[in-house]
Parts: sequence; C-alpha cells; structure tokens
Amino acid sequence: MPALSETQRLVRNALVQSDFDAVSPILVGGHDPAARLAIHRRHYHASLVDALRTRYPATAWLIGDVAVTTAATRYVIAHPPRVFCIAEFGADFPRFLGSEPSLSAVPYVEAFAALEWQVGRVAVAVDSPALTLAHLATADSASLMSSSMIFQPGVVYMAMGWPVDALMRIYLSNQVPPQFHMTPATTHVEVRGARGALHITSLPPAAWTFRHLLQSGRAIGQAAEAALDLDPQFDPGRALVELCDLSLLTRLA
Amino acid sequence: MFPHLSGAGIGLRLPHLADVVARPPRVPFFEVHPESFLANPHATELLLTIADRHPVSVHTVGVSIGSASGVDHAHLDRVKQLVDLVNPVLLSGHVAWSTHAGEYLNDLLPLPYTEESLKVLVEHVRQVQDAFERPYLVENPSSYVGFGDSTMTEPAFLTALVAETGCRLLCDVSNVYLSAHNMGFDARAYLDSLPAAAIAELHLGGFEAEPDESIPGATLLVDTHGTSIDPGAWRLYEYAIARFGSIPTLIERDNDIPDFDVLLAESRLARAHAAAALSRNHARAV
Repeated sequence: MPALSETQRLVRNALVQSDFDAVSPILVGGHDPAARLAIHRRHYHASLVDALRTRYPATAWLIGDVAVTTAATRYVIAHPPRVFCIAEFGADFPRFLGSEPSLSAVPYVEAFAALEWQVGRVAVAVDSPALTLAHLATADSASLMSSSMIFQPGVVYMAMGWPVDALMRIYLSNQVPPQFHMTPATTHVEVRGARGALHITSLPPAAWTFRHLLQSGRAIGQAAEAALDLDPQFDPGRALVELCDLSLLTRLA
Repeated sequence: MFPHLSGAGIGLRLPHLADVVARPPRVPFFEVHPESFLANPHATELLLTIADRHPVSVHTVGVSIGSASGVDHAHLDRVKQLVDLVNPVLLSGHVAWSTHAGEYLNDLLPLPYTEESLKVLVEHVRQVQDAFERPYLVENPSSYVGFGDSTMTEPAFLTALVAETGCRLLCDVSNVYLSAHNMGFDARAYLDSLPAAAIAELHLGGFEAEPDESIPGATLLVDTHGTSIDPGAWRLYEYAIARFGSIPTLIERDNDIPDFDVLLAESRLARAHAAAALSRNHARAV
C-alpha cells in the first residue's frame, strides 16, 4: 500500500504525463480503472488549454486558434499550474510561444502575447481614489523630489522590441487594414485599465522612463534625472501635473 | 444551525455578475468560488455589492484539504481576505485533493479512504477552520475510480471526519447519484449512512453519460456541471430532503452556462421537489 503522497504522485503523473502504468495496479472501478482515471486527465488538459485560449484570444486572432491550442497543449504538460486561480495561469505562456519553432515566422508573437497578458490583467483592476494636483501641492516641496509615488493598480509600463501595441489596437477596434507591416522598433507603452475600460498609449522614451521608474518605487528626483538623460527638454514638473490630470497616481509613498 | 438560510440558491458565475447587480433577482442565496475572484478586483467589487443584498456562500475549489503535501497557507490567506469581506453564510470545500508538490492540477481528485488519508484531512480541516474561524463544510466527491487499499466506505470516512473535526457536510446529491452509478453502490443506502445532523447544505448539478471504456456497453456518468439536473438526481434529492429535512440547496452550473432565468427555473424546481418530499413526510407522520 503506497503512502498517500506516493499515490498522489502517481495520479499526478497519469494526469500530466499520461503515465498510467504505475498507477493502474492501485486503482479499482470497472474492468479498466485507468481508463476511468483518464477522465481526470482529459479534464486537466481540456480545462487548462481552454483557460489559455480564453486568456489569449487576441493571440489566437494573430496566429490562429489552432496554433494557440497546439502550443497550449504542449505548455500544460511542460508547465503545470503553480497558481490556484486559473485566471493567473499562463503568465509565462508568451515566452513559451516565443520559443516555439513553429512560430518562428511570427517573431513578435511573444511581445504581443505579453501585452495581451497585461491587458487582461489591468482590464479587471479597480481604481483607487486619485491623487489630485491640489493634494500634491500641499506636499513639502523640499522633500518632494525624494518622495516616490503609488500608481493606480491597473497601470503597467512595457518596453517591447516590436510595435505590437498597434496590432493590439487593431484587434481591439476590430478594424483590420488591408495591409500591416511589422518592423522591429523599440516601443514604450502604458497600459491602463479599470473596470473593463482599457487604454494603450505609446509614450516618448523620456516620459515612459519617468513614469516607469516612479511606478517601480524610485524617487521623483531619480526618475526625473533618468528622463532628462534621455531628453534634456523633458519637464518633470509638467510630467507630474500630467500624471495627476490623468488620475494615474493614488498617493505619495 | 443556519435558520436564516433555506430554499434553493444558485451558483453565481462571472458571466452573470453584472446582470445580478443591475437587476437583483429573488434568490435565497448565491454561492461563489473564491478562486474566480482573487485575481479579479472588478468582479470582487460586484460581488460585494451582491453580498450586501443577498446571503452568499463561499465554496472553495482550490484549498485541497486532501493533499499529502499540505494546505497552501498563502492561498488560504488570500481566500480568507475575501471571506472576511463577504462574510458568507456558509463556507465549504471538497473531500479531494488538487495539489501535488506545488502544482495545482485544477481538478478534484480521488482519495483512498484509509486511516492515513483521514489523518491528513482531519489535520487540514482543523487548519482551515482555525484560519477562517468558522465551520467548514466538506463535500462528497464525484467518483469514477477508487483505490484498492481503501479500508472504509466514503460515508464512514465522512462520518469519521465530522466526528474528529466538528466540520459539517455538504452533500452533493448529484455526486452521490453519479458515484453510485459509476462505482456500483446504493445511493439511498449511502444517504442513509451519513450523519444527518451534520448535513448543512445540498448541491445539485448536471452530469453527462458517456460510454464506459472499462465495461463494454455500459455508461459512465461524468460530472460536467454543464447540463440541467437529471431526473434520477431529482428523485434522489427528494429522498435526501425526506431524510435530512429542509436543507439549503444549491443549483450548480459551471460549463455551458445558460441564461440566468434557466438557473432561476431550476431553483424553483428544487423548491417544488423539496416541498413535495416534505409534504409526503408530513402525510406519513399524520
């Protein structure tokens, strides 16, 4: 009689790797209990592949549902979930897609799928009360430059090697042009979502760097210096005002 | 134990959330899977609006009290945060396991009914009840296979678990019907052998028949939660109500989710079946 942990290891191997030989002798039920255990294997694969297809509809639009399903089928064997909420499963599926030899003709698939993952994540965010300019004005000006800022939960900054934001806008608007050429180009994107609403904005490198560093916890002064290194014309004061106007900030840290 | 909760509630899934907020239906209670909300703050916001208006039961699907590798306390903490916000009328989970060595297998997997399994579940139910500071209801599984080394029946296992932990039972009537068909036991005898005083909730969900590859010509019932409730499960439900009394009941649908009105109709049907069973009991008594 195997220990419970060993029994569960054997069942796990049957589900994930279709290895039924080791588990069969300990099962009962019908004349071929392993065939019945295969119901659980079928559910494991079908439910997780379906979860990925549901999570990546834009990627399926880009490369085809068959390609996503094929990759997802391989992915769920190689990478069983390590999260308990299936909505959180598949964060590294974009990297997996990028490593698929069959998708080498679509070199921007990883960037596009990574953008889609973030789009899905922020679209269900809920805004917190925004920091207003009036509140910001009350901050001690001497210490302001060493302060950092807390952003809304539904804001993500991404730098990508392909302009996949343009592709994503086409997908979201459902207005497909007759032709669209993708050429590699560093793209700086802000993805903002809340309660189902979504905005994808391309930013100049300096503005993106300022916002990205602020969001990662850097002080206003440090973020401003980095932005000024990229663009001497960058105006940190105006950039802060803009962040308040867009309700992107919730408070000073 | 829960005098304020009765009738047939509905399993509330994400596609119906916004409609239920916009047009609150007359439903005795809703039941939700917390794992559907933990990564979805917008859905949680809608759920809290609903919880202000309706009793809500929380039915965990990822706690995995049967895992030999232990309950994941980080997950338990996340669920507890939601439970504290919702303040559910019932909190439940499954006599099953879903995790192994840090992997989550997204299914409710069968356990051997042995002393070792019982010890594991007793420990984990205690941990869960301590963490949530409220009673935990445990649900009987739907079964396609068992284990040759099981030393007790499922009802005996559940009865021992109740005795050791003080937990309550969520009796999924459809699972009993399905498992009885698949594993070849008497569904009514199964219900008869459960500790009636521990039953705090009933579940009803749809299942589908498919050829049983292990027995030529036979069918296997598969727990899909994707169809309406089978007439045989309704008959067993009446038997369960006759035996356990007026227990809060949940209509579950997780796949091929229909219009909400379809679920409302099944909720009313459950109420009618329960009333029929109770009136027959009453008639016998007089």
